[in-house]
Amino acid sequence: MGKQWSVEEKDLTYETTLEKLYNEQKFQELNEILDEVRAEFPNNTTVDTAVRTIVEETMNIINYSSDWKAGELKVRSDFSSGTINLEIIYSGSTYWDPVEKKTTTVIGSTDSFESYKREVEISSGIVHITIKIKLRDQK
Amino acid sequence: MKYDYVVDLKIEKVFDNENVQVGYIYKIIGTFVYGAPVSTVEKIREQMAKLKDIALTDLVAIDTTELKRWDSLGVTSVIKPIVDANQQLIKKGRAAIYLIGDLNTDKFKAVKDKYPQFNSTAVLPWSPSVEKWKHTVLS
Repeated sequence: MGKQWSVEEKDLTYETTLEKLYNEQKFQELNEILDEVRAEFPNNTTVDTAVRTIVEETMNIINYSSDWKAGELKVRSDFSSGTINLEIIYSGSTYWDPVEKKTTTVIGSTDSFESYKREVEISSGIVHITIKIKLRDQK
Repeated sequence: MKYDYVVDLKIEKVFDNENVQVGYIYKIIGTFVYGAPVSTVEKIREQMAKLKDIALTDLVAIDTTELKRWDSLGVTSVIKPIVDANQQLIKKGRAAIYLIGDLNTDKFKAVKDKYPQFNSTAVLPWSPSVEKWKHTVLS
């Protein structure tokens, strides 16, 4: 079953300890919806990595891209029979690319996937990042 | 489903074969991800900041075997002080601080993603278990 999480700029405050915009409760909620994906594919390092990366990329966009502040930033997760869809969607005209900026590695190895597709589409003021993973070993 | 995003740090003494205390193991316990309380992150960072002095006279290892998972929040809070301390310890001819944990998990990959230049080097050495670490540093 698909789940959605969203955040707006007013939800966040700058935490000097973390040197980041943060809201403990909001990030717990994001982890909760993504943990349902992890629970569906337990002890799967590939899934753990994909889920962790989604949170880290969300954090990067929140802190390093100003585009999203005009509206909401949304994360959607969905899974069924060995396929996982993860999406980050926010208003804007530019994509803050973590690989290009060398701040993080977005999924290093694709060895454990049957297919791994990561796409960024910018259209009509919306940035849409999609990660679609098909696992090699189906449940 | 209810999830907890709680992280804790426990410090245990390490003894050699003659029961003489030779150092400390810092056990990171729980889930150290975005969503963690800032006050807890601060407390752990304070403890980690003391390592560079403690490791001048005592053996130190960071045990991640009871850590469920972490993302760049946990990795940065724990690994950055170790890297900084180890660079100084190596220059001074002292034993480096080891990380203890399973290399086949996303816990290890999260470190590799964040610190690819140091991973599994003298600056960031890993050992799979407390027993193997003790064997390495006490022999």
